[in-house]
Parts: sequence; C-alpha cells; structure tokens
Amino acid sequence: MSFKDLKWLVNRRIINKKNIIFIIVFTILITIMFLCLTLVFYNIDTKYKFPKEDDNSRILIAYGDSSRYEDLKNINHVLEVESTRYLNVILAPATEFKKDDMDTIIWVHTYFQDLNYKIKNGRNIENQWEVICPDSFYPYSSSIGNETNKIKPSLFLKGTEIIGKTFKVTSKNEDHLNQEYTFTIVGTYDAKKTTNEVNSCYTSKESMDYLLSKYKGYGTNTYSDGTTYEIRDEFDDVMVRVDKYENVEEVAKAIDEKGFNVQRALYVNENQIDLSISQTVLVFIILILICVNIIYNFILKKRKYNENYNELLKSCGYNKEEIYNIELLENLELVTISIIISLILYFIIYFIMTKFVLMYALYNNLRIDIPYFGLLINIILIYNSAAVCSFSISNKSKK
Amino acid sequence: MNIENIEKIYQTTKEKVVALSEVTYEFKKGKFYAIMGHSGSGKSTLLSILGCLETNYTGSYKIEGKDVSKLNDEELSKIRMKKIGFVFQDYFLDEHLKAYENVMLPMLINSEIKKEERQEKAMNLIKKMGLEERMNHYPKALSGGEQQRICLARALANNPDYILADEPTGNLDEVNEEKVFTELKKLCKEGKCVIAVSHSNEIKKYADEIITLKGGKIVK
Ligand SMILES: Nc1ncnc2c1ncn2[C@@H]1O[C@H](COP(=O)(O)OP(=O)(O)O)[C@@H](O)[C@H]1O
Ligand SMILES: [Mg+2]
Repeated sequence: MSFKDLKWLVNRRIINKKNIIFIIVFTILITIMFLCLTLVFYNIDTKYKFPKEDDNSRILIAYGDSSRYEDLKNINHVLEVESTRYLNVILAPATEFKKDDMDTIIWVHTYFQDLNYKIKNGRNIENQWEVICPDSFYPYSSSIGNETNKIKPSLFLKGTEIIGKTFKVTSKNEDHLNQEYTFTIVGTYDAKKTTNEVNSCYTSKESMDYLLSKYKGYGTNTYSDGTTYEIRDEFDDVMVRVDKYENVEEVAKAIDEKGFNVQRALYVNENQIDLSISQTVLVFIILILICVNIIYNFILKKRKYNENYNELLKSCGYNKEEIYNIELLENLELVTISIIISLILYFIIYFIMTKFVLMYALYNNLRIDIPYFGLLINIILIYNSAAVCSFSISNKSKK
Repeated sequence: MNIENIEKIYQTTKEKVVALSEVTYEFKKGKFYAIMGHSGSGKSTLLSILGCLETNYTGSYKIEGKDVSKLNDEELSKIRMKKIGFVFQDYFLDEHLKAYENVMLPMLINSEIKKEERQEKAMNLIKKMGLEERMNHYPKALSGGEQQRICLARALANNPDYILADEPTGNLDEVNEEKVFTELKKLCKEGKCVIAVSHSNEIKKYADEIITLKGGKIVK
C-alpha cells in the first residue's frame, strides 16, 4: 500500500465525533502544557539568566573603614567605587507628559559608563541636564485610579517621539534645596535587556550631584534635658561596581578579606525560585502523564471501536502491518492537528498575556520568553508517547 | 479449495467448544455452494477458515493445490486479497467513503491495479450490480439491499476466484434477497466459486450443492 493511498484513506476517515472530542481535549491539555513549560523556563531564567543581564546584580555594597574605601578600587574586576548615594533616584512629577487622568512620574537614575546601554535613537548623555530614557517610554505610574498594576499599552511613547522633550525636577540636595532644573531627553536606550521600570531615565553623575540629598536620612535625638537635636545620617557605605556578573563572587570574597562587610545590592531569593521551579516542573510532569494516559486509553478504545473495521480490512486482504499503519497514521495526524491548534492558541494567549494582562512584568521590563527549545522537546515527547502507545497496544493485541 | 479433516476448537476459559470436526470437502470453481444449519453449528467458523481469516485449526487446507494452513499473515493476506472476496451479513461499509470508494478499498493494496484504473474498475463493478446512480452516495444514503450489493461489488474488486458470503441476505427482505442471490449465481456462471451461508430456503433454488452442518459436522 503506497503512503499516498494510506494518507488518502486516513484523511477520509479522520473527521468523526470521537476524533474531534480527542482533538479538543488534547488541544486544551497541550496548550496548558506549553504555558506551564513557559513558566518553568521563566523561573529558570529568573535564577540563571536575568541576574546576569541585570546590571544591579553586578553591584556590591561594602561597609567598613571609610578611609580605606579607595583600596577597593584595586581589586581585580572592580570598575568603580562610589557612594551608595548614587543608588537613589529622583522622582520627576513629569506633568509635561500629562494625558487623560494618568498619574505621571519619571524616575531619574545615575548613569555609569559600565551600564553601556545601547542607544536606539538620538545620542548618549554628554552634558549636564541631559537624560536618556527607554526607547519604549511610559512616564506614568503603574496604577490607574485605585487599580494597581494596571497600565495602558497604548500610552507607550516611541523613541523618536520623545527626543528633545523636556521635564522639570526639583532638587533634594541641601545646597540647592527645592530649586528647579530642566532635563532634556537627548536619546533613548534599549530597555529590553534591563529590568528597569518603563519610566526609568538616566542622567550624569554631575547632574545627580545637584539633585540627590547628601544624607541617607534625617532623625532627631533627645538630650536628657528634653531638648531635641537633628542628626544627619551620612552615606557611610559604598557601592562596588564589578565588571561581570561571573566575577561578583570573587570580588565579594576579596572585599571581605580586606575587612569590609559586603552584601549584594540585588538580593535574589534562590530558595523561592527553586521552589517555583520544582512546582512548575511537577505540574508539567503530571500533565505529561495525563497526556500519555489519554493517548493510551483513546487508542485502546478506538481499537475496540474499530474492531469490525479492522476485520473488514483484514478480509479485504490488508495484512497486520497495513492495518497497524492506518491506525498509527491516524493517531499521529490527530496528535499533529492538536499540536498545531495548541501552538496557535498558545501564541495568542502568550501575546495577550504579555501585552495586556501581565502588567507588572510589562512595567518592570520583565521578559517572559517563549521557550522554543522546550516546546520542541515537548512536541517530540508527545509524538513519542503517541507512537509508543500505538505500538504497545498493537503488540498486546497481537498476542 | 480442498479441506480435509478440519477440526476447530474454541478454547474459552471455562470450556472447550468444538466448532468443527472431521470436515472434509472440495469446492470447485463455477459452482454455487450453500452452507446451511442451525445457529451455532459452525457455519461462520467454516467460512472464516476457508477465507484464511482463521488460522488456528487442525487438518489440511489447500487452495489450488497449495497448502495454506501453514502460511504466515503476510502470505495469507495476499491470498485473501487476490483469491477471495468476502460478503458479511452486516454489510460493513466504511461510512466515510462513497460507494465507489468503498469498492476501491481492496484495490489500494493490490499493486497489479494501476491507480488510474481503480475508479473506473470500481464504477464498472457497481454498474454490474445495477447501482449506477448510487455510485457517489455515502452508505448512509443507501438501503440495506443496495449496501449489500455494494459489498458484493467490493468483494469482486480484485477479481477473486472465490466468493464467501456469510448470511448475505440475513438482514434483507425477499426482493433484495433474490437480487443478491441472482448476482451470486451470475458470478458462478462466470466461473467463480460461490460459497454462501444462509438460513433461507430460497438459496436452494440457486445452489448447486448444499452442505448442512450440525454440531460442527457435515450431515448428508
Ligand atoms: N470466538 C469464539 N470463542 C468461543 N467460541 C466461539 C467463538 N466463535 C464461535 N464460537 C462457538 O463455536 C460454535 C460455532 O459458531 P459459529 O461458527 O459462529 O456458528 P454459526 O455461524 O453456524 O452460527 C458455536 O458454539 C459458538 O458458540
Ligand atoms: Mg454465523
């Protein structure tokens, strides 16, 4: 029997109630499996990939004898040692970008050369009072009215639209308190590979010096006679910027050996992530088992249902192998149809989720990638289980 | 077709059922054989042995001098395809295929029939059964009698020498029964060997030889 004839026969028979129910059930299952897999890989990325890409994970905070801070610069792989003061941000009211009833806000950070952001439009900062902002810029808060984690995708501004735009900031620096300065956007950077909020702009250290408070915080103390006095909390720790994520461990050790307290600026709760990974993997394994179970029982049922038909084929002269091939091809086609519909459904759901539903991720530039490789392995797994089920059932009935 | 001393025992978990024993007979081309007998007398079992569907029996079975009792599935399938045409009581048409496509079903595995010829051949067989207008209908749209004649056309698809029919008219009224028997008789005259199981006395009018089974044995 030629493959063409085999395919013709199978295709003529494939549309029936039982098969359609199978396709529907199986499609739903595979789609859930794909989504689950996406979550597995997202968790894995959170542990292994994102920290490497996030510039904050290259920063160590050191605390100790302030007269010896300069020493830290000599450690291998250390790029800069700066006051932790520059980790603070300036909030700009950004009323210049007012639209509808949106709450406007821009966060201004300090730009360090090692950030090395890719400029998409315009140019990088060269002078004071210049900023670069995300190429897809959203100078609004992540809440609308009372609803948090809600953003309007339609309000994102394109890089080309915002170059030349200005916004005002008010100084928190004790020497220039409440003085207003105007920033000009001179360029936009590619924020896709950062976990910056979508309203994060960057300016030079020189500009930030005018704006940032010199002190960590203020407090009051009371003398024993009852009078109070103000104390000012100095920035007494430093940030150590390391060239690569891979070297952070080594640098931290060196800092420790020099007698400083050291901790990471970005704390990743690995236990939490490990738990998430194992949970999602477990769900995925359960789904695979359900999937195999469904295929197996479906093929078994269909074989019973097809007993008369197979007997007819046999009486026409079809041998066992040909009858088996008809069954196998039908099963593989059903699985293929389910997988194709699942993929389409998956991409639609993925698109809707990442563009409209997962606002928190969208606001923080968190990337939820499509795990193409994982999907491929998943599909191969499904095909294999279908083939193995077909094979084992047909072997069983031969005996 | 020559069978000698055929014995068939069904071994169920509880008991042994002797479906056939000491069955010896010769079936010749050009003749119409009627197999009769009560329900459970072994008629269907005999047909499925003759049709090479059932292989688990003792005794000798030769088709045109060739011993088929020891052949494997592939060789038996070839014999079923080329030499034997089956008709069952319950029609067994593929509801997803049109009438002529059902008739083409056995041709798909016959490499001797060219792809381009299949459709024409199938249509000719249907014409022969007088169902020209029904060619493109699906089985659901056909009456029982029409369906059975399509089955007969399908049994003839690969031009076999032997036609085995197991109660082909069991579900049909007298008018349709007559049509089916007439067709079978015609085939005999063309030189084919027809072996049909029937409860109906009508068949005696058409049969050249009548074999009566009782408790798995041929009674004279
Ligand atoms: N698959 C089977 N397993 C066990 N017993 C069977 C099986 N098929 C038929 N039999 C028994 O064999 C005997 C002959 O059956 P069958 O050839 O179908 O008779 P008929 O076609 O004349 O009614 C019956 O007693 C029947 O119960
Ligand atoms: Mg019977």
